[in-house]
Amino acid sequence: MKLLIKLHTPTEMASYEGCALALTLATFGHDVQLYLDAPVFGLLMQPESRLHGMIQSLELYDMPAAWLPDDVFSGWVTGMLPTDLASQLILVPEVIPAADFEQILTF
Amino acid sequence: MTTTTPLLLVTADPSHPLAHLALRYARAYLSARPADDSSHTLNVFFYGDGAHTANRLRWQSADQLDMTKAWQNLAEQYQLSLPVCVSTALGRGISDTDNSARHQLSGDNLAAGFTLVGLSELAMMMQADGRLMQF
Repeated sequence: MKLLIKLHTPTEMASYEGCALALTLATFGHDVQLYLDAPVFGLLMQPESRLHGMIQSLELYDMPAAWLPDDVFSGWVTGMLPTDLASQLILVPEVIPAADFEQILTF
Repeated sequence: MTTTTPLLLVTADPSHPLAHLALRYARAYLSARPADDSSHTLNVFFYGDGAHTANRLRWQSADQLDMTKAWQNLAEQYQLSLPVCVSTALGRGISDTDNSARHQLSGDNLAAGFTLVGLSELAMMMQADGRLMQF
């Protein structure tokens, strides 16, 4: 199943649970794309947050780079993050192929 | 005709309107299927804040719908299983006897009819099903 999982809620638990679901489904062969919305940037920047560590390991799960909103804050946050984490992030495409996804989940 | 079993991913707290919508969907779907048709089943998975539904100690005033009881009744009527992600449940103080013993927690509060399972159960449900709905 091809899924887009959007992380929006700025709590450690919600962002962890959304990301954990994405990684688990990817392990089971599902095609998962993560989208990190601006409210979770604060957690992404905290090295001790689980979200920070899990995004660093996206490649290990054969997952594509997580999408960030196409705005100035995304440019700022990627500039602030360590290189290994920033390399797992990419700006969202101008046109999101929403029809390609069988479901969009939000956390 | 081919049919796919819907999978309801309940992530909303039981007080959230979406949690009520999930219950209404499940009731409508199950009541609409022919009585002798066991192939039209329904899969449900409680995740995140949806795990609060499985807390048997969640008190509800009389004028409010008791979501825990409502799911228990539906499960009993239609032989549904009510799996709850174990880590999201434990993170919200909901535990069964086994997990309480394993994690040195005092007491348990998992409502009857619900079961704590790993997230891999959801992944496997999704492999068999084509319709996933998040509430």
